Amino acid sequence: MEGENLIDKGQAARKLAKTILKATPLVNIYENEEEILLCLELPGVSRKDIKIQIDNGLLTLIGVRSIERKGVSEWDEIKDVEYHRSFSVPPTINTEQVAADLVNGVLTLRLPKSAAAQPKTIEINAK
Amino acid sequence: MTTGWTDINKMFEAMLLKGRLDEFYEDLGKSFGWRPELAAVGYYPRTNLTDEGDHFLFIAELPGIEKENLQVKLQGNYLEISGVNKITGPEGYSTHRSERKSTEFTRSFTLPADVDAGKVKATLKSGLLTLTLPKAEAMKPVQITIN
Repeated sequence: MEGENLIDKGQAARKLAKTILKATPLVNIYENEEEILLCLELPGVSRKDIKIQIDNGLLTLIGVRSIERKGVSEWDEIKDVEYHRSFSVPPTINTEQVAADLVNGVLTLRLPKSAAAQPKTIEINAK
Repeated sequence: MTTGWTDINKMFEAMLLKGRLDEFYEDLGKSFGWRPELAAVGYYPRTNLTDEGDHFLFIAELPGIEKENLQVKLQGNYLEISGVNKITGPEGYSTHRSERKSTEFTRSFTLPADVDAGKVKATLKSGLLTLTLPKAEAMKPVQITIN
């Protein structure tokens, strides 16, 4: 009995996974000497529904938006979507120190460059 | 006098014909419901509207917009949202990719019923503008008691 139940649940989950639309969030990428900034548009996505992973030089972001619908829909252009996007992270990035901020539907990822990758000014010793 | 009147006439004819063709295409476009003002701005921002009995819930997708740059106008059952979503890169950074662009927009809607403009609530959270639009008294559903 319990086994059957599990199979049912699995099928239901697969059905749900099929119905949700996939979307690619728009991104702006900025860089200066200390860091790389990724600014992604994730309107309507809650903090808890965003997963960011960095594995083997690949940063993967998944964000799920599910909008609460109570009444009768008159029109519906903003769909429930799964935002998905990956970026290659250069080896100069210190992946331990990546920070993420979510402000008004825009996620900003700060990817700091490791000290060794930052430009250095060499002092010339006077004799 | 190398350019004869006939040549000039031909030029004029061509221009007139072109004008007529433009008009023709414009009419053709109109008959298919194509509106140039919509083509220019697209359907930006995307919106949802739901009827929740005594009020409508309106949502517009505007990630990153500042509330100072957003205007909402209401009259009866006419709703208009306009503004500009300014995207500016941080100072001192070079830009590698720029998919998010500054967008100026105006979009108007005809709501299914009149709303009480004085009791509208507006919030801007996680990139969504949410308007709670209470229906005008006369438009609200009424429970009829059966004797």
